[in-house]
Amino acid sequence: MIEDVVPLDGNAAAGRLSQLFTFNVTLATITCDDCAFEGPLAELRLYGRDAAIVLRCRHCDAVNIRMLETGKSVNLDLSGTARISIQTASG
Amino acid sequence: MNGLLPWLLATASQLHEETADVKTITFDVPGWRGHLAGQHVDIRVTAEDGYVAQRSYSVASSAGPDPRIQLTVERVEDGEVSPFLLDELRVGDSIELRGPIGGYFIWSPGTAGPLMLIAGGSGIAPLMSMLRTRATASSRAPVRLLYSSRSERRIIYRRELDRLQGAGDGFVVTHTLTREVPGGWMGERGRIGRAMLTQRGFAPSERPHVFVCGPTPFVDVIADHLVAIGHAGSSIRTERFGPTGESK
Repeated sequence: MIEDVVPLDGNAAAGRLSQLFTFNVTLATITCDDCAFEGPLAELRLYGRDAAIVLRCRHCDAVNIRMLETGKSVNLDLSGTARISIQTASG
Repeated sequence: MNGLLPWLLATASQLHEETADVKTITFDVPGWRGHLAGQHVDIRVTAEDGYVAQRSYSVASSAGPDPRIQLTVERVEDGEVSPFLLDELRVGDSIELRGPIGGYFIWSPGTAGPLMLIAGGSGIAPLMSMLRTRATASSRAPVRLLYSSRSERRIIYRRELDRLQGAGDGFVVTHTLTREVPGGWMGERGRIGRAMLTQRGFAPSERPHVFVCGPTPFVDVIADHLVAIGHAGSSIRTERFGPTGESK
């Protein structure tokens, strides 16, 4: 149940996302599938807390990422994300 | 951060009352691999019926490898985790904790440039870790902290902030009170606005690293003000912790 109406930052989802990514995905650039806005996952708007969260675009508010933890499985829905881009070298 | 961040058993070793609604809890965390200033942990509390509540808390203690970490917890009325941590947890009790987490809202003493910190209520916690880390490293990076509290008795870490400022090594704190202002108060009063940010903070031309932490509406307003007075969006890092004034 997503009961929280006031969002946090995507940065706060770093712990649960670390279950699925071998790097810190909150530093990756996410492209919104709806409006094509690009920015770090850490700056998306995080709604929800316990079993289920959604991360929304901070520009158009479209849902970019959904995550559900059931206790037996971790499920990630990236259908609102057009692209995930990570920097592999600095500079 | 690698892909496997295990839940660790953290045992409370010290409880310290900061204000009527805020405690700092020291946890011993075997297996803790050290943290950077500004990082957070996830805490998981399981009720007798199996219901699991999970919340994030910033680490308030200085960066480094010490497996004793401090979390500063404020009461959220009707909250699921903070009443447990504040009212039920005793020294010797254990909880589950995962961390350190986050590579976005972090600062290291080696970072060049001045540091501008803006806190609302218990949003001071991760910024305190930065200040403690700076002091431990004997860094002389110029720092200005703007700290908004509802009343004087709700100011967290007051004495330590005074002491750090007294060291005269480039750290200046400005307190502002938004509700009750006692007679003889020497600090600012009212909410942090553009004038206070301009007068008490660094100018955009000084290219400060800006960290803002507090309730979501507080952070939203401050971030807009900062951009309006000319700070680059990329220089501003935010950490929102939820609904109303001073809850977490």
